[in-house]
Amino acid sequence: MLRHALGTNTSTAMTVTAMAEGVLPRSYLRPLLLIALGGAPGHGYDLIEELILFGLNVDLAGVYRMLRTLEFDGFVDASWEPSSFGPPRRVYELSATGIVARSAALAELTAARDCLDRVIAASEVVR
Amino acid sequence: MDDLLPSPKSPALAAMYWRSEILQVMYWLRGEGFGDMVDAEMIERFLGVEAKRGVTYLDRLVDEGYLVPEGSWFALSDLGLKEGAAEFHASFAEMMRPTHGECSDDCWCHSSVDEAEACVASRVGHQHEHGDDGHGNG
Repeated sequence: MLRHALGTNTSTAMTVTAMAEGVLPRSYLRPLLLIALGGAPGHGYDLIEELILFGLNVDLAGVYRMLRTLEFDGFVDASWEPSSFGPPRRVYELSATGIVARSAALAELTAARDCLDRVIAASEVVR
Repeated sequence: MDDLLPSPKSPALAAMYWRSEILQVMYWLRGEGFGDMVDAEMIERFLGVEAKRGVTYLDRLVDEGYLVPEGSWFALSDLGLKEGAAEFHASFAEMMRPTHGECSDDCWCHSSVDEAEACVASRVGHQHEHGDDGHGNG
């Protein structure tokens, strides 16, 4: 039980929902989540771990909401996976539409990276 | 904060809506191993309902037997657990159902409203397959 692991006061909620301070702002959540979903089917927990590794400023509530939005919009297929030692878990994977959206997200990130490279190169010239 | 979906204005419908949303969040958190208790502040973060208002929905769920309170925290009861699972499944089941127009162009369902309704009913009843007759099983 996470609550018991983290304590019992109200600040626990903040700890749970504001999980990790990353470099990338939360506006990157959608493209990074689409990219994280591009691997093997995964649970929410696995996806969150991957987002943290990507350097995203992860917010659990935001991930929940984005996963639901992607599912409602048909970008993600999800199912329940029974577990012999715990409650069933949601398994997420990209749909055919999601795979297209993932490619678009990757293109956007590449364009953003190119822009940042130009900014950094320009700043080095100024120095 | 934005809601996931616009909630109903009628108090009775709003209560049903928030019941469903809260139970689904708690069911998901439990499944992912993120804990099985929430408070009003978490509900605000997850669902965009102001904590002051959210706590009234949480209290109401306690009265209805879906949640068990523990100080300012709330856990799913057995009934809440069952309902959370059902709500989660139901919220996506509607979009999985085939709708009119999902069969082929030569389907007889294009000939009249009655035929269209019969077509949808038959495809909901049986798993829809896009067969050569434009109807799959229907």
